[in-house]
Amino acid sequence: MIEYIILPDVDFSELRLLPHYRQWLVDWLKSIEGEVEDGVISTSLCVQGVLAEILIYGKCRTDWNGILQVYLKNDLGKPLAYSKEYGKKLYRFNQWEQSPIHAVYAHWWIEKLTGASKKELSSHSHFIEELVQPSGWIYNPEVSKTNPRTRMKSELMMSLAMGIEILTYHDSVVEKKGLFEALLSSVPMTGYLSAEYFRLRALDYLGMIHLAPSNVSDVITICEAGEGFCDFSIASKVDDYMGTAKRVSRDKALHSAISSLHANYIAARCGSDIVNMVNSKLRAFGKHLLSRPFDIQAFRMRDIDVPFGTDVSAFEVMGASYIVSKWKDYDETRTTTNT
Amino acid sequence: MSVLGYIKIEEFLEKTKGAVRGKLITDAKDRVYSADYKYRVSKDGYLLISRRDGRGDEVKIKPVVELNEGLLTFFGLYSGDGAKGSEDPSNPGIVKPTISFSQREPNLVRFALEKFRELFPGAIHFVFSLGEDSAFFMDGAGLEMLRNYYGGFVPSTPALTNVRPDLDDADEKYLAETRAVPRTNEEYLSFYYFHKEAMQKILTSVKQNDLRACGIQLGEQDKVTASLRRPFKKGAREPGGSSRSDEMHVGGLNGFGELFLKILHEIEESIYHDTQLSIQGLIEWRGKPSELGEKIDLRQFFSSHNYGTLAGERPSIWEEANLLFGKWPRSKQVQLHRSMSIDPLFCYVSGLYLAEGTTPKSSMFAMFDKPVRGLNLGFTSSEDVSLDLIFRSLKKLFRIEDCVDAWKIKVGSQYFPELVVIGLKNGVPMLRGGVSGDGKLRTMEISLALKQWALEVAPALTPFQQKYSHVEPTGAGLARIDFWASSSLCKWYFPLLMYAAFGNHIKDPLGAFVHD
Repeated sequence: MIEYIILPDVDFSELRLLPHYRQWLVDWLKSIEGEVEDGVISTSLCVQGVLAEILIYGKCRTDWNGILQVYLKNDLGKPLAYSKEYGKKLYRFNQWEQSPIHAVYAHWWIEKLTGASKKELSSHSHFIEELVQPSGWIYNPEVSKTNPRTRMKSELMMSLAMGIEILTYHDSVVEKKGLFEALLSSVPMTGYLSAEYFRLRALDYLGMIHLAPSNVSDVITICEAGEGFCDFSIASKVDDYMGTAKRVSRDKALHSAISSLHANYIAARCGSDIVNMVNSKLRAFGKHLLSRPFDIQAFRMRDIDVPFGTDVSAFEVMGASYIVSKWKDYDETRTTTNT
Repeated sequence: MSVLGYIKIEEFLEKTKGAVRGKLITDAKDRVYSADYKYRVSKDGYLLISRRDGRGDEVKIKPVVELNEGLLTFFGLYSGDGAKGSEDPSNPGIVKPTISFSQREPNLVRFALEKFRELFPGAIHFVFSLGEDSAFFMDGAGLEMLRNYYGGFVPSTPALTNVRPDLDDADEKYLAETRAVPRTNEEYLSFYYFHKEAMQKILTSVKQNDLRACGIQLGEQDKVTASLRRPFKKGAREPGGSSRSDEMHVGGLNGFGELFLKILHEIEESIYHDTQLSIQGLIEWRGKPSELGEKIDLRQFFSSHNYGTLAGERPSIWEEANLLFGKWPRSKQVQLHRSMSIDPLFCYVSGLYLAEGTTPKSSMFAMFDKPVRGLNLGFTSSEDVSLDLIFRSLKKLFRIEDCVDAWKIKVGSQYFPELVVIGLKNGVPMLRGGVSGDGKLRTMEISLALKQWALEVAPALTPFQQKYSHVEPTGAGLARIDFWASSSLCKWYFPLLMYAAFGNHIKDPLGAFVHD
């Protein structure tokens, strides 16, 4: 099975792309080809490139590992998130040379996929061990020294899950297991699908899923949006300090294939009612995507009718493909009876 | 200094039969305003305008108002700092404009007050209000004020049940909120009610002193008030933190807001499109706006004009290969255009910059008298028109490539969840920078994903698209664009900006402004 943490449960060795998604990924790979050749590259693009080529061709056609080794390591051999040339995409952005957890994880994952041995990968595990903070969170303060209180919950949980996966693989988690468990079980439910998904993922690696917040399923119901799920709910947008609801009357939560798969992962660890609700929702979402495959929109800021950031992305397309193929034959009646 | 154009109020009301309609975008929301007026002519030749529905005041104004540099600056200032109206909750999308002005800087408050009185010679009055978060009084300077008020010792706060036996809905809601602060909500709420009167009196006194210090004489009808919010509800992040806001509400103009906004919009629109006549004819310039105004020979201005000297110093200016260069003492040389005009655009932008520019205002008013440090040139907006006007103003003096050093997108916490999703779509988390998280966003994928949004929202940025730096998460507010230029431009741009704004009535700025 080939799985990447952003898209839970998707086995990239088995997933069959729908034609329009396949074409989108072919075009996308073509669009980045020139920059990749010139070393204008990030680890996140490498991961998406690897996954796209596996889905399209059944194997990697590009030497992604070679790209990682040449363009995405610093002088000390530490994994970088961005190449020097990629860093130039932002004007005088001196922070391009950085080794955040997600970059370490991406390097580790690609190298593992392309055949590196446990021993060869151990430097990543050692680096992660160095980055475990006294609080239990895993982050690189040289990249971002923001205190945990104001860091994004999703970032903290994602980095923690990535770090714990690496440590677990290298049998290095034992020493910190208690710390991680205490941390994961003491953070209140965040209200964000990704944060809760990564929390459960981390608990799964630790074999302690029963430490999840008792109300974790609530995040699924509040994050229903459009045909699927959004990472957040508009209603819960609240200022951290003033405690007041923000002026959000014209903002919209939008469905996302990625967030919907996070909801599905969480649901699978909750009761059957939630599982059925999510299955039913994703079946409808799959049908919707079949008829309107690229109805994955970017946010809008109030009345400004200009896309506020990314709409369709490689991860969204892969997630959408999985939703369509997995839930197209889902029989609501049968599942309900079974449960 | 001269008359550049006219606000033709009587002609406009006659032509539109008193109907005022308009639309505006505030806080990234499309809104409209609408009102119907009637008028009569007073014995002394003024118009007495009132709403047809009988609501509001009868407002006295000239049938034709002459637009000079100062008044244009005032409208630019109001465009930045003035109220545009609040949405009617029962009628979303419709704004009910009131005329008020948010500004703390004393010279600008006095300037705005004088212009309001000049524009509306009838019975108008002012209500000055100082708003503050009551957490301000829990530590630091605020606590010291409270201590002085009580004669050296702040009485301890009793339990909430004693101070406020009957809680209202807002109190209950406050108590249910959570925030990372040292004490309990009960203690904070009790502090608020127990010291409320003292805090209000202190704030009122502070505002009265501020007004007195800048020479504002209050009339019989004018008032000074204070408004307090429960601890941390206005924006203080910790005990002793401040979230001060200064408002100047203009009384006697009730119901006139729509017409005032219309004047403002027709001024801005005709300057933006450089047309002699505004869309509905409310504004008529004496010619094409860009061809009007006092012509300034920059070499001469900075060699001999009162506004061309800063803290007793003047720059050196020379020609090289037929180009004009200048250099202030201890500063970098800058290439300049030979001449520019103080046209309507420059005047309007001067006001807009004074309202919303990132330069500390105190520095701009002190720079004529003493050396000031930390001058910078920058501007934040989510509106293309404002950014375009600022760039056009800067281009009057400098080469286009010198006008922008770099730009970024500031995003308030309201839109952080969206940024997280943008990150997820690209397979990365949202990594903040700086101890408190308001530094440069570390995640390049998110910054790059928003660049196109900024370029579409503000096409005026297109010539500078290569200078996009990053996304910066901030405490509050919509996503907006923030640009800055080299600080070496400041000492060239600001003297001309101040001359456009105040040159009408202050011939020599030396010693003319209030500052520390």
